[in-house]
Amino acid sequence: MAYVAVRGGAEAIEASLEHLQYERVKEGAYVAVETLQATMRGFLDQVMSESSLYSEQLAGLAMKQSEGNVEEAIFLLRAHRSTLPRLYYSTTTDARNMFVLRRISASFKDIPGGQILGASHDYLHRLLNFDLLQETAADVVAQKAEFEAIEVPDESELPLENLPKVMDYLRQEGLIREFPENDAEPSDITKESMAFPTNRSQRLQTLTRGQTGTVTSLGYAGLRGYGASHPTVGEVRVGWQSIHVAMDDEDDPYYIGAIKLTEVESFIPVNVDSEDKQVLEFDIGYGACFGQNETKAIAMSIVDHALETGGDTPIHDEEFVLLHVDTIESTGFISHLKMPHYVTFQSKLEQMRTIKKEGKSL
Amino acid sequence: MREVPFALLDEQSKKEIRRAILKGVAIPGYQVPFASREMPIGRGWGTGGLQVTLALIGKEDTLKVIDQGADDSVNAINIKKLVQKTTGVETTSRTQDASIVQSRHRIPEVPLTKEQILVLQVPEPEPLRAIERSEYKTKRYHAEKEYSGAYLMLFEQIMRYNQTSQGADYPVLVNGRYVMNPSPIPRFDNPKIDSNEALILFGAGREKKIYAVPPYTNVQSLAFEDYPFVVEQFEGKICRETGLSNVFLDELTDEKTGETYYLCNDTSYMKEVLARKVAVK
Amino acid sequence: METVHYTQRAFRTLLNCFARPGTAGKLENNYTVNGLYAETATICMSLLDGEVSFQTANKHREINQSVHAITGCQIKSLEQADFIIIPHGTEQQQLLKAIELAKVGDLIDPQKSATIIIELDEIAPTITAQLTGPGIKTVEHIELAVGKELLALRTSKNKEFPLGIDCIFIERSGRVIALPRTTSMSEVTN
Repeated sequence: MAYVAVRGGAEAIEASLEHLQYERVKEGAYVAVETLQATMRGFLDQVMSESSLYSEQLAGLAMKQSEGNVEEAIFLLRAHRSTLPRLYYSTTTDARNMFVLRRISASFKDIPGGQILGASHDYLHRLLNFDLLQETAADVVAQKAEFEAIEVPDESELPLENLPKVMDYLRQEGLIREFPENDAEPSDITKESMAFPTNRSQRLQTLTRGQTGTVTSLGYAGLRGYGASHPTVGEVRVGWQSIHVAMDDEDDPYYIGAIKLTEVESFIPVNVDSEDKQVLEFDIGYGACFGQNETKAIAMSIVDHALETGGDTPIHDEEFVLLHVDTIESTGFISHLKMPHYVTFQSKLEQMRTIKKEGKSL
Repeated sequence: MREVPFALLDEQSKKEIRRAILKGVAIPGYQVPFASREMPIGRGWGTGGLQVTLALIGKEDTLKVIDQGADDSVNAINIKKLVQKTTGVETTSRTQDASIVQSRHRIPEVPLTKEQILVLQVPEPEPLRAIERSEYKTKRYHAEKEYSGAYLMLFEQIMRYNQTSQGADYPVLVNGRYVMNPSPIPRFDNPKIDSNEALILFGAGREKKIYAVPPYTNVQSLAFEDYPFVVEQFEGKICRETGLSNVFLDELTDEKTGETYYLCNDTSYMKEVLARKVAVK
Repeated sequence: METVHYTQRAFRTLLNCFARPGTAGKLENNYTVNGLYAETATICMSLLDGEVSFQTANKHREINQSVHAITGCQIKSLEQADFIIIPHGTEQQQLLKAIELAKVGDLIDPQKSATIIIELDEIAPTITAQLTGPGIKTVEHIELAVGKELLALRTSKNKEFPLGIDCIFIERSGRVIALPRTTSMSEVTN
């Protein structure tokens, strides 16, 4: 009977683990973590975002070790994170100071500082490039040299730091709904578990480390009709964001490095009561995540706004959204169904039999 | 360069878990929220119990891990290996030799002593979840000691089946105050929680809750005067190997004859009883 | 690396004291904080960090700074503090005031209550008290050098379970006794 077989014992586990290790090497092929770091940008960005751990090297290692299994790679990084002490909190960082690699607005044709396309898949024809099947290391080096030989025209000397924000332009005109400044210390859900109702920092933190697919689907649902928001993307910016830590309040903060960040501000029209009449103003839905994860960040901005405003569809329900978007939690609980449950099953079985035998007659 | 700390978790994480455990002991049956850490094993595979064990364990401890009553089941071995690898502690399958017993879905048949701590893994700590999906609301029900829903759930089962149909996860009232999910142990094990000699700790990793039942604490399974609480009945059934009848049994099928037979679910206890029988002979 | 084991042992001692109220525990001395018993420093090292807060009953500057320095624990008001330390020699009035102000949690979050660490000296006469509650088989008797006012105040802070305060008593001898909020305590007069 199947129940007994699951009591495989130590040897069966050892054999299974060995088998897994063999799968990784059985083709006799090798890939260096450096190579993964250099070539698997998209994978690493997604994994770093969902694992809440910014390290391209460790993400590359996790990718290698997990044979490219996203769920597993995130799992490895999250588990590693649990072994690390939290020594400092960074100071507040403002994406206005981002060193921008890409920055677009869907709201205006021309924005102060200009649309900066950077590197993006958006304009790509998604056709398989069969040339890559034959690509050699030498080809890569040659291509790199070709690109780097291109002269950069003078007019592209754009200021890429301190680019103005599209939002600020609308705010000056009084078109953004104003809220009182909130300088409350943000919560950290990895240090203190969420209680409901949550605050915004807890919601944003949960969403930014949420599963890319789940956050995207929830944002999509909000957009399609299961939410009140139909946003216009005010600005998507991707770039290097400097991070500082302060030893104490007096000293200047220390620069500890830069992380690649995607930040999105969506504009969502709302009715506002103003001096006896109704006016339309914009609310901001906010999305931000590690790495270049534009779809996720835009979806996050929709879900953020949905959770800020009431509504009776699931994406407005904070428990529904926040308790189900985490990769580790959802994959963990789904996969736990593979564990033996024969004690609980036996308990149920005994009851069903008794009820069959003694239960009420209708 | 990358040395894993003793018992895996960093000191701060342990402190937080330890504070939650002490609060749990001070408020028996109340689910203390904690910032559950991701563990190297699946979330839903015993990470709550594991975090509690890792926050407790020291060099002098002896650890026993069981899953569904068995020491050698895949998951029990996996957890035992992980703790062993990060702490170097002794492990055992003999309940009497363990100072910490981590278990999923069973309380050992051998009575626990005051030198021992039992850690139970909990998938769903909220006893009211089946009747109310919102955590915001269930937390308020506990605050107001509003447990009519829990009784109503059992009452509806009785109306329908003339008895409760709750298998495992059968709710209990702790110290006359909090309704608590004893984890998916069979009802057979519920009475063992009442006034146990040992401290019992519950860890729910995914749901981020820790709770406790101190030793000698009154714990009663919810019931009605005319429909008292009953445990699983294995009437006329005995363990094929030991002949025991007052234990929780696994139902198995003999592959050759197709016949149904029963074995003691607590495998280490079964082995012990068998060894004793051999010795007597 | 040794700290890991030292704090682990301290926690297990405390846990046993909490789980079995009245049981005397013994803590190690590894750290010194001027003005505190070494056992109190051990408790601080095992339970306090930057995520929680503390205060001393007499708002003692040096002690506060030392405890903050070794644990990173935030210093907050007596009303807000997660841990309140009552150093030996604290005046009776300050001691009672500190406990009076200690937070007891609310019905939604009864865990958001203060843990009181009380250093006893031999000044107050020893009383014999009878303990009942979870963790105690029938009754437990302990001898403790605490005043009647403190006993009465503790009882009144804990009258609305699950709200309440949890107390850890440390004697000069190093003996540690914990009384969680569930323990009823009454003086035995012969």
